Amino acid sequence: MLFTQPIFLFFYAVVFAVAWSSRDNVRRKAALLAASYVFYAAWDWRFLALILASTLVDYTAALGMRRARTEAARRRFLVASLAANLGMLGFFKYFNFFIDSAAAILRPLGAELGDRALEIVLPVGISFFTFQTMSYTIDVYRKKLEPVASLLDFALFVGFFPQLVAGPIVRAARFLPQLERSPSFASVDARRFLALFLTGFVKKACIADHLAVTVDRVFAEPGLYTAGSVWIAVLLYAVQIYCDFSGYTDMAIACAGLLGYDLGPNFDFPYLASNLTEFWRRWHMSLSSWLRDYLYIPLGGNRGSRLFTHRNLMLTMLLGGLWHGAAWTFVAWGALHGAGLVLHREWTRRRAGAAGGQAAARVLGTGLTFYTVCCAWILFRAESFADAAVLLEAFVLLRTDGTMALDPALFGGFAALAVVHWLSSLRLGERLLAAVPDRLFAAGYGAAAALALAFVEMRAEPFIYFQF
Amino acid sequence: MTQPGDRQRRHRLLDAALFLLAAPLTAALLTRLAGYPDLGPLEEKLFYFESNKQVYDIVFAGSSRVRRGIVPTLFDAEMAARGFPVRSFNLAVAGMGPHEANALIRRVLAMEPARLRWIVVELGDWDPVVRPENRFKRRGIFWHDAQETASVLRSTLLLDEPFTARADLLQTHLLHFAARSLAVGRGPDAVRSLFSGERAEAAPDLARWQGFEPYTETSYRFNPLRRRFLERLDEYREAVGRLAAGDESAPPKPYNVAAVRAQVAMIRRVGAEPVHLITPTPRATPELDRLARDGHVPALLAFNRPADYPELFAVERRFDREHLVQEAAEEFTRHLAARFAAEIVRRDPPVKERVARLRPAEGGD
Repeated sequence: MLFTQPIFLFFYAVVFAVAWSSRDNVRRKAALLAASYVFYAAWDWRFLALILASTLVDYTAALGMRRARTEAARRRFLVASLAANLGMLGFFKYFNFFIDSAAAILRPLGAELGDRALEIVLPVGISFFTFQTMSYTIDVYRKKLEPVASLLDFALFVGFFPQLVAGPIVRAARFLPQLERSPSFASVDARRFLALFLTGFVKKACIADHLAVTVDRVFAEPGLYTAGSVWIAVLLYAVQIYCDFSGYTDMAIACAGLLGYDLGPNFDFPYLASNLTEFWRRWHMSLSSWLRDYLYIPLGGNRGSRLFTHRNLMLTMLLGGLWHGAAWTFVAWGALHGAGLVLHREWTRRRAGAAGGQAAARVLGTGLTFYTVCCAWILFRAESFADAAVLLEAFVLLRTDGTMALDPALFGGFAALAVVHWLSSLRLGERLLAAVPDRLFAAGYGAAAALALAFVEMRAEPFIYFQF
Repeated sequence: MTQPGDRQRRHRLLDAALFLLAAPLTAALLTRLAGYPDLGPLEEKLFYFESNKQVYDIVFAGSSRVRRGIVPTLFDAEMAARGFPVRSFNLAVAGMGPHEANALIRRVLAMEPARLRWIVVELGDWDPVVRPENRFKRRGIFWHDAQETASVLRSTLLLDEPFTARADLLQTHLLHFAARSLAVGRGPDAVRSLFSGERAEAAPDLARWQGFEPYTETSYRFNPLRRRFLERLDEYREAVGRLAAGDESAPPKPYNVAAVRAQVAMIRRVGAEPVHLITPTPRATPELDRLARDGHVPALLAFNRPADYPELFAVERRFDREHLVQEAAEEFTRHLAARFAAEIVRRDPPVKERVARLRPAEGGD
């Protein structure tokens, strides 16, 4: 059930009506939990057991930590929770990857592992909900959070359908307090969330899905295309993945917001970042802050030598890459970002105190950052290192044997979208939206919804981040 | 006195009403602006037919078996040689099932083609199943007009399938109808029509072949269906053998009866006559034959008879299992014209005079 499918609108309308007609908060939460499980079961009901197991393990582990009398006992509960979550993630997402990689390493040494790969179906959203539950137990262990007494609240935190399958990765400290009180519709900024949902829909169904047609063609046979066409395809992929993922996030935030819950931001115009550090503060913010708080800082963060900090940055980004997918291309993607972050850190250190044209430096930095991000997207999207090498050769060195060319007008489309991205960052639309009278907003929303539907790509694509 | 809560509720209702009004109004405006959707060959054929609609006495509708099997220019010559000067056009396109063909016929009749007397439509199972790869394709959406959606929903309800399968189908067809009504995916057409205005010229082959589409050399070299046919000739020969030997009978499916009767009534309502057709396919159609025997189909010209038309079933006359090569298509067209003149036109005595009277001069392309 995709947010862009009509069946979801029907599902959501029922959930919305039931939620806001419940006078009792416990019943409301029970209804939302039931709806969330129905939503997840619509993908594959067998994996409901995974969510239930994850929920029960972390709920019990957190309560166990509270009751534990010694630090060692508390740690045992934490280790049990982490082992259960990482074990589940490792088996479903990485088992075949590790087996294949081990086989590839051992083969030159004369050892044959044989065909030990299993036919494992990746449960949708597993990377998201395991990270979410792990952050809960770690926060309880660190005594930053009190364990929640209500199993219903905790189960809803883990399974809440708007963010269940592709984030944002919501922290318990943000979400659980919201469940304690009954929300009031009067305090919901319905207009903002309705506009956000439509924006997300347009990004996904009218932009990302259309671009996918061209991008898929080039990435399937990269050697056939001219360097100019590879440039266009890579730029369009950068737009596609942003519109796909931030579009999903917009719709998730809007769905939760209209039910009275705040999931927090996940994107802040990342392509306007003037360096990679800033990019990661603006792109998939819930993941980057998770990696910072639960990986980078525990590794030692920047509390050591420069080399130690660089090692921590690289490790965090390598694991961040692996989180995205069980393939070495994702690890390489993380490595490239890690290297970029290290370089930026060194550059900043050496330039400290140096004066310069701020505006020009920012424009140059934004262009350079976007170019680096695009190079990294090639590794992220390519089917293999061989394909990535062909694409990078065309994108960086402008060298290719390909002769097929995309319509250059597509570059104009990219430029237009870039201008829209920049204009949106000025938040002019939000100010305009706030000034529009209710009646005009309602009629305008109807017309805008019809216009959005008219421009959807009929070949609907699943959200890219569902595979993670 | 009005309570603040009541006023707020009234405002919300008004907002909802405005939203519900603005959305379909915008969609209707877009549909009007967009004109014909971009349906590839079907759009070209419809546009060509509409531009020359006053010329034709007969149209052929159906799947690629009709598109690749009937040569209108040859059909017209054969009819003229028998004393019936008619003009025909082949509107068939690949993958067109009975519901889509019916919606096409409805559109053709709405164009009010003055001379149109016969509609020759391929008879098939009005099965409402939509294959997953065909869901939400433009053509699939486009044929879901109000009448055809009602018809396909009725077919679905009458289908002998479990409730869940029928519910899924009902939902699929309703969503196709909603997509059509709300102009889903029609934006690019509207923009094109707004900025380019003129419709592209019809392909010159349309005027030359009148909708028939012969196989090209590329088809012979790369068509996967042909490759599969050549690899499995035994299966084909076996199917033809079974067809020649068989004499099966099966009761008509309720949804086929309802749909075909509605189609006959629709065509007759405008003064035209339906003629149903089964092309030379190596498949027995006992249930469809029964529709004719029971009188639901007024005129059926069935050619899936290897005993009567052995030359149409010879391996070298087939492009693949379902389709004929061009020479065989010409042969089939001659047989069709002969049977059409003998079984259809002669059964309708005033027609000969009417056809002669209405054709003082050639028009059209």
